[in-house]
Amino acid sequence: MTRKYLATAMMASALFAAALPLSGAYAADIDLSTLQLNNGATATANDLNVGNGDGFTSMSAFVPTP
Amino acid sequence: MSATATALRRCQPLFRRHNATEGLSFSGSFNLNLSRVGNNTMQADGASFIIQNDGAGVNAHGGEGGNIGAYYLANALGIGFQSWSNDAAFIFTTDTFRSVSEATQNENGGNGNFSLGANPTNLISVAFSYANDVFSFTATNANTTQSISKSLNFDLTDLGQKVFIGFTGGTGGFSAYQNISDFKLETSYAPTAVPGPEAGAGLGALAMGGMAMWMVRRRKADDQRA
Repeated sequence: MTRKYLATAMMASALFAAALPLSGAYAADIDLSTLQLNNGATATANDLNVGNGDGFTSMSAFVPTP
Repeated sequence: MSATATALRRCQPLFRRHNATEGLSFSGSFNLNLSRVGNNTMQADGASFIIQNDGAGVNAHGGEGGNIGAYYLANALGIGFQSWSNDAAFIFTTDTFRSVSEATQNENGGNGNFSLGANPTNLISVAFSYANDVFSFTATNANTTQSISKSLNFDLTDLGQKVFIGFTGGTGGFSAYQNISDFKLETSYAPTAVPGPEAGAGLGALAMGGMAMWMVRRRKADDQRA
């Protein structure tokens, strides 16, 4: 019985350790409407506007690093 | 320090990695469309792709005009595209924005290194990457067929422990339509920050220790019932 528990524990440990490195990568087409829009910037999913034809503007849009 | 505490300490980098600069690499692409307004003979002033750790975080924005919404942001690294008569494409940091932009504007006998301001429309495809302390980009203007590549040695952790990624734009006495589309981003973390053999062993030991304690408790319970 003890050997059965030990094998289970070792298998769980191996799976846990093996899964960890997979959590560090991210890749995506960014939905631009999810960015924080500042000073008049506007966005749809695939169009971020940081200049709308008006003069003397300063616009920005940011997202935390995924 | 106990074995459990040591194992947990070694796990910490994994759980505080979101939005962190330590070990971060990234790459991606976007399209930048700069178009002049109405019958204006020129467009101004440009846009940037920027990585920053300004105190205002995601709400940060910089100066108007040739500052292209990027200058005055603290702890920043970016790619600037200045139109108007500047016609410059360059990599900047907070400390070098002014000097690098001026030097770039003065290239080619004062004509800059990347024609933008006098063109009615500029559809620019940009590919960028940061890895092994090197930030680089290649930009190609479909309307002029001009292409340019730049790189800069830079340690991203100099910006601080976290960064925000995004875009800025600025206009002045002249203006423009300045749009970003097709933004693709891939981020990853260096293996050194992922729990290595030592940390992995610690996690395994932690899990095995838990299982062992559970087995001991179960055995004691079985003995008491017997």
